[in-house]
Amino acid sequence: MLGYNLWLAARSVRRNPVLSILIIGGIALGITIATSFITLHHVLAQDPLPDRSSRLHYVRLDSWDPARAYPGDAEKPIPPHITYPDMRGIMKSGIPARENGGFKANLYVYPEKDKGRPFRAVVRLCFSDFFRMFEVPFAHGGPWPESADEGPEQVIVIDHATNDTLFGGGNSVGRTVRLDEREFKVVGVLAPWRPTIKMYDMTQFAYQEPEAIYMPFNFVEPMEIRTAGNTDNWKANTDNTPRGFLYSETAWLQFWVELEDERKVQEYRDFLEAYVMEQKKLGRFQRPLDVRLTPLPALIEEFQVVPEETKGMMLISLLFLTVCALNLTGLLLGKFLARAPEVGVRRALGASRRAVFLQHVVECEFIGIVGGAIGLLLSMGVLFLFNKSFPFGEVFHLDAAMAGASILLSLVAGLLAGLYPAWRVCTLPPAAHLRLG
Amino acid sequence: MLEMTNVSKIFRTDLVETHALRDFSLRAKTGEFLSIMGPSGSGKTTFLNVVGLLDTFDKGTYLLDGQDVSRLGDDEMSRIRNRKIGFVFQSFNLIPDLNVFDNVDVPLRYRGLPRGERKDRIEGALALVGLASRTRHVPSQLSGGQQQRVAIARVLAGRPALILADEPTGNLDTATAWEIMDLLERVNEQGTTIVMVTHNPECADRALRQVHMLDGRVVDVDQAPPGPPLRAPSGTQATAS
Amino acid sequence: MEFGPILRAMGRNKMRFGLIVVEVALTLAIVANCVGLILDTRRELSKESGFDDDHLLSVRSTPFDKKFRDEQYIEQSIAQDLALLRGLPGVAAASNTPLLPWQGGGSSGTLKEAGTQNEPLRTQFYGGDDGTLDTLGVAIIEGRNLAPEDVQIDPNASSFNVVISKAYADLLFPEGGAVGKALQGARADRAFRIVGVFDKFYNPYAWNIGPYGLFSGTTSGSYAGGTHYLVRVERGAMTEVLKALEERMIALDDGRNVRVQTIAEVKGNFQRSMKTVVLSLNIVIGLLVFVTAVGIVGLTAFSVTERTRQIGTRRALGARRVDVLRYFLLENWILTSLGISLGLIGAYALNMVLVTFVDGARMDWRLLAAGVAILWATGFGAALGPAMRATRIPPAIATRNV
Repeated sequence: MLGYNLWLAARSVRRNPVLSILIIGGIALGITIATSFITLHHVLAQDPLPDRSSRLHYVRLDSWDPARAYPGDAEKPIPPHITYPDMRGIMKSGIPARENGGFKANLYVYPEKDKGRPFRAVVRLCFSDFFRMFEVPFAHGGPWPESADEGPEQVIVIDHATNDTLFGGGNSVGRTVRLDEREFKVVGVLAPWRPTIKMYDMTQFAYQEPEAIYMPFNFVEPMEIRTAGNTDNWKANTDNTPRGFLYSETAWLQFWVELEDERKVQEYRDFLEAYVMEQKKLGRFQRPLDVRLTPLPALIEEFQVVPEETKGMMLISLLFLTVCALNLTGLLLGKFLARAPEVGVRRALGASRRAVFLQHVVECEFIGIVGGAIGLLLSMGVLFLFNKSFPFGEVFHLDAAMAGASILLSLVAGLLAGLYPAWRVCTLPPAAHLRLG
Repeated sequence: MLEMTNVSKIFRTDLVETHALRDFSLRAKTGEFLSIMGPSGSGKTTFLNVVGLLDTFDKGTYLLDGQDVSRLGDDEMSRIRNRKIGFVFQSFNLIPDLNVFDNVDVPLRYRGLPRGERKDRIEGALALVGLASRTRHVPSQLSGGQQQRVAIARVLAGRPALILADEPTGNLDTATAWEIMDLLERVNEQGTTIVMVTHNPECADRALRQVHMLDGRVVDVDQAPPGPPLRAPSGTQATAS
Repeated sequence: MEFGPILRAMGRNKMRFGLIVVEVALTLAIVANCVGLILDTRRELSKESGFDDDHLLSVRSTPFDKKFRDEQYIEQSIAQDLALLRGLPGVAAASNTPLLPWQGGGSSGTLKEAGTQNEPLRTQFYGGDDGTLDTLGVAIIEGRNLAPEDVQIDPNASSFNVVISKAYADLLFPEGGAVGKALQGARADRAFRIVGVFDKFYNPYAWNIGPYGLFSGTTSGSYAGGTHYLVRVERGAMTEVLKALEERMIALDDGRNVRVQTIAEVKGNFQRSMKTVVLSLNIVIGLLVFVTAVGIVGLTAFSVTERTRQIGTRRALGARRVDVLRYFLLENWILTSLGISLGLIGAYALNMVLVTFVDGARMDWRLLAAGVAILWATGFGAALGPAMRATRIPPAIATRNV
């Protein structure tokens, strides 16, 4: 029976091509717009580390000017970074399972002789824990050992593209790269990696690409590396040397800890508060005690990472789909009722009311599926344009879940739009349209 | 009242030419009750369309109420239909979305009569056909006879000079049919000309003059015998509702 | 003319007519809000820097040669670079300043009038030289420009001469008289003397300090941070300058890389998402109005077909063609207007939801008026076709028996 109903549906679609184009085109447009904007929001707002994001906590301490709060519109403003002395002060507490502090910098990379001019690469200074905390995927090798953090040892991890540029790809573990005046040994090569949100550093544009090279944090002092990220300072700096900068009140480091459970969170919070109270005795932290331990999802929310328009546009696109569905109801009503004489004949020939209803619902779902499939194809085009015209990188793709969701959406739209017309046509009295002039 | 001289109406398709009316001539005096009879395809409906200015014709002349209406524009034809002609249709043609009052109101609206006058005329006409209490009903809530009485009220409210009835009893049972015929006769007695198309001889007999048509022509004219018109057999007389 | 009967007839076809009403209502709600978002974004897009953006170039020199670790070498290099840039054919002006217009940020600080207890006020804060204002294409309106001798080499000097934007001058000194006053920041031992006020400045920045700008007479450059120049080219000389620039800079000193970027490109990148948002919303509006128009055409056509017989009857009873046309247009107008009234409420409701996550997307009556006008026109245009078809239904339909 389903086969017969589908055959009838296909025939009905072919019989009036202009009307069918409008009907199917309408639902296809609705699905295109809805799928595109839902994907836009879904991609930009998705949890970058669904398995562990709630365990990762970002640390902020209000070490700002005693006279006034950190600037900005936030309800309770606090500097987005911590200072170098504070990071040194709170590291190695032994409470977090993992911890990482870091920043990004621009360093010169010197290719091997005759392989081109030196170029600037974006480098992240971090600790060994960084890679596991943020699930950084490796193609070859792995993170440097924790022992290399102290010292520090001249080891680096390079990303896939840098490996291609410097060594033409392949397993380059063990080869050396010159950064500024030092030779570094490659211990790991990353697999291609492009998290949509650069979750470990959202203080600038949060959808930036990850860095090209990763090196142990402790080179910051010996190599006098300056941050390429934001810095916030309230207290005049009398010492303009790199060392003077490090030991100033300037906040410029992102610091993350991984805490397994609530108990650990509480324990760590107590530890931080104790640290700040200790510092207060030394004359620092003269503002009211404010220690923030923010889980990653909450931080994404607080930093307003997801562009506010996307939520609005998602809402608008769903309403758009609703209009398309209403439109479909109207057009199907006309189409089905115009067919009343044929339905009369079917009823006279023994089709039950249920059979007529089913026939028409199947036709609606047929229209929904065809429209949904076309909409899906069109939305891939729209996402291609999004990739080209938004500054987020090539992050928009239609994954299986989204594709499934939009087919489901088109089925629901087809069903809701078709229920009333199908019910109207099946409740027509069979004799009403059989009277012939 | 009406005077048609050598009227012809031809329907053309690629293959055939159908002469629906051929040199058709007919006169009806004011106050006359005329019936047109003929088998299916004899041109009755075409005649009705032409005489009611629902359609144009190809040749001949047509004077209605002393006015030559042979070559009028569409708007002028609408105006004359609205003011001078009242239609009673076989399938009543009430507007299903409108209630009884609004249905009777339709032609009066197009005439642009003031509100008060329209109301008086509608209520008067509905009282005449015995439906004064049904003004808020919609057609689907009425019986066939009641619907046809609404249609007649719609005619009466317009106070036309000419009533065209097209098988007015075709969709009704016998008893109701007689009621409707009685109603039309009463209207005719007030002096309104009635031309009725039918293929029911019993109805046709109630007209004073019967015109027989075949293939678009008048083939015979019967003058009814003087005296009281035929009555329905007793026992089938319906009680007025 | 016949409101009563039309309305009563509609009451008996609630579903069919309700569809048009709801569709129009939703469309109005969406269109009004989309237009709101578009206008907000366009307002942002239409902000002008006040600079000669189309003729500006950013030149970034990033050294890798160790000799740049020497501050004196950097000073000397800056002087050489400026001489080269200013001497290039097609270059109108050049300046050593870290300001990169339209980058979406920069550097800032808080200052107050020296010696007062006033609240320090935040401004964008950049180094600059005697050529900065000329390069940007802005003019001094009070006091004087920075002179070559105002440009300090020592970052720890105790006094700097500065020029500030009019907006910042008005913020600091609402009574006027900024020129000659001294400002101080966090360090009381360092003074910034205002020597001039310039007319235009806007560079998008957090904390709403886009119009506040200050150029302090200092050289800016370092080994780690590189050195940044702004160059203004003469009309029509952009291509020529772009071609020569990088090569000439490297030829002058090849211990560095040089990156050249037009400010138009920087601005384009900065505005790209906003433009995409505006384009997307425009497309959504266009498609939505189209879909709604199709819906109205469909439902009106259906309702004409379904009422063929009664239209014939009306014609038989004396309705002229224009009466039939008027009937359908009037019916449609009533439906559209009902939809519009419902849509006005819907537009406000949707707006209340939207403002919870989009800043500034406030509804105003002009948007609604625009939406209402669009929908009336759409409804009328869409109903016209089927209504014209209705006028061609012959009155003789009435005598056809089913």
